[in-house]
Amino acid sequence: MALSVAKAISAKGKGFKPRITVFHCVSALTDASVLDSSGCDIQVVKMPCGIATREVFLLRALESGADAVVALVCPEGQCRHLQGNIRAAKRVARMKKLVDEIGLDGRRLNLFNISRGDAQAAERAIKQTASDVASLGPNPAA
Amino acid sequence: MPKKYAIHTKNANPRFPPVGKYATVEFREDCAGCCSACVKKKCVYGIFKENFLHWSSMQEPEYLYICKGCYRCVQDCTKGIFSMSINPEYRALGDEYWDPDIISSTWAQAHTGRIPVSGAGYRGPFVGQGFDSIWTDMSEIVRPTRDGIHGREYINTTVELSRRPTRLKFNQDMSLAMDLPPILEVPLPVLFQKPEFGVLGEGVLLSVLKAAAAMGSLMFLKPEDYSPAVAQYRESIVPCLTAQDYSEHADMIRNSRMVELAYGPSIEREYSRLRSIKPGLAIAVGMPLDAATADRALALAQTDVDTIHLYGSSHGREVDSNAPRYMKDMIRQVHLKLLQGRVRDKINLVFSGGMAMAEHMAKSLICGADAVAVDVILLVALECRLCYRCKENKPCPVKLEEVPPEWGAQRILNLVSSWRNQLIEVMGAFGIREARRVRGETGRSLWFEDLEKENFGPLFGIRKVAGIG
Repeated sequence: MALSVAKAISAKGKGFKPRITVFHCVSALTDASVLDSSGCDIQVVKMPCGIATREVFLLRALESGADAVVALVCPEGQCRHLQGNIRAAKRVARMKKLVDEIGLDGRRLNLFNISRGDAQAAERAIKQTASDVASLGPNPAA
Repeated sequence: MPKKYAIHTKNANPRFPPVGKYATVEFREDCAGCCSACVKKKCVYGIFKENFLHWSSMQEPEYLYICKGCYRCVQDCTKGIFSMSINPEYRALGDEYWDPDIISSTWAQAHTGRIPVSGAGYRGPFVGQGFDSIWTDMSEIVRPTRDGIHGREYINTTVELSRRPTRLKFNQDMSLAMDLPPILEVPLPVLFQKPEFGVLGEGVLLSVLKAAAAMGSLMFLKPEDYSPAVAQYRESIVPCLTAQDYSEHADMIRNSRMVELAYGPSIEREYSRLRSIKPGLAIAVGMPLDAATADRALALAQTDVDTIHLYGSSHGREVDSNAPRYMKDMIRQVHLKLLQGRVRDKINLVFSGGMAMAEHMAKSLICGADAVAVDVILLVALECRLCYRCKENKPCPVKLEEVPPEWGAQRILNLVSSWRNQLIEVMGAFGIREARRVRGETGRSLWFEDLEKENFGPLFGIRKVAGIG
């Protein structure tokens, strides 16, 4: 998988290393160091719950130079705070539309549901985002 | 009126963001928009302001160490949009003895010098093991002094480390017919010693020594830890020597108020030689706190030793045992043995190992100690997270090797000041105005084992041992 991402990245532009900001709920992803092997420049923001994923901070991450922003939250029905993941999903969906409207492409913004301790799923989510970003190229707003 | 003893505190901010306990989780979509009455503005610790600032700089923001978990925001929000979450990293701090609450409250005390705020929420069973099975009897708290324990009312926390004659002899003209041993006092029943592990660079040692000098306490230190910078504080150092090597450190002895000798057979023969190097020197004997300690202490008390320093494990237990007993039981055993031998008033007992909270100090005194020596807690005051990475030669997450002595000394002074204030609170509630009178004063305490036996023994016979913990 890592190889295919690397190929995709090199196909778009040599030397382009996607910068991804990851907002993650601590219940979904306990150890963010598993994301280091993705081959991307990862900035991790740890949150007590997916509900802390606020719209303004998703946008601020893009504004501050991230090529993509990923929110990793618990699967539906497994949130400690009952609705944190559902509300986070709604916020990300709203922001995706907004990002599309301003021409940045909504694919730069993604939310994934990760079961507690499923580090492989988190790694897959990052690699999928990295491959999407590789086709989109660097963030023009950065 | 003599000047009151005081430890001067001032804020010593942490160098690294401390691992906080609580996070606030907020469901903003449900906000009623009553901004003028918003509970965020009422937070006495200002955590929401900090929260926002952290978020805006894309840091890991939510585990705010300053949140004390008072639940005011959770309870007072008209729409109930707040809830609390506990940081999993916080739960992983320390170990089963040095638990996260001890570490976190020590950080807060070292930061501000104030008595820690425990906040709301369930804190576990009302009784535990070791010191947690003793409750202090605060019945006198209903009759506080008119002047207040921190005001004009003077509660003396001074303890002696020098031996006391058991009787006085007078001449015919009523003048004293004997020489009295010199008095060595420390203003607080807290001494310092070097921890067994940790990143113990010169910065850490100098921090502890500076604090000891500022508060008038002493630090037990081995000769190999001496350096020119450390030697400036020689008056606050108790060199820990052995019968074999003390003659090589005559200079060190001359400059110290007290010397500790490691226990060995016929150790009493060395006292006169030591006192010939420095007349009037106070002598302590250091020994492990094991099963034979009480008998050894009784034998030592017959000699001219001033203090016996008993080293327990860093987790507050007996050493060299398959079923180690708790510090409180060990203190009690040694104290009672000396009482039975009628020599308790002659000498002083200092216990060390696992002294983690101010209440451990107060409860040690109640059990029969004269003073306690602290070690690991000094590292915690300097932001140590007790991750034990240093034991594996991994880098320290809070860079203890770079501790500035000024800052470190202030953190330790803040912590000790907070401990002293807590001791004064407890003594005020005991109705005791002298720390020396707290020693062995079990009448001011309630012991879970005794209460259980007394109340439930007649009903259930031999008590179930599995109940507590």
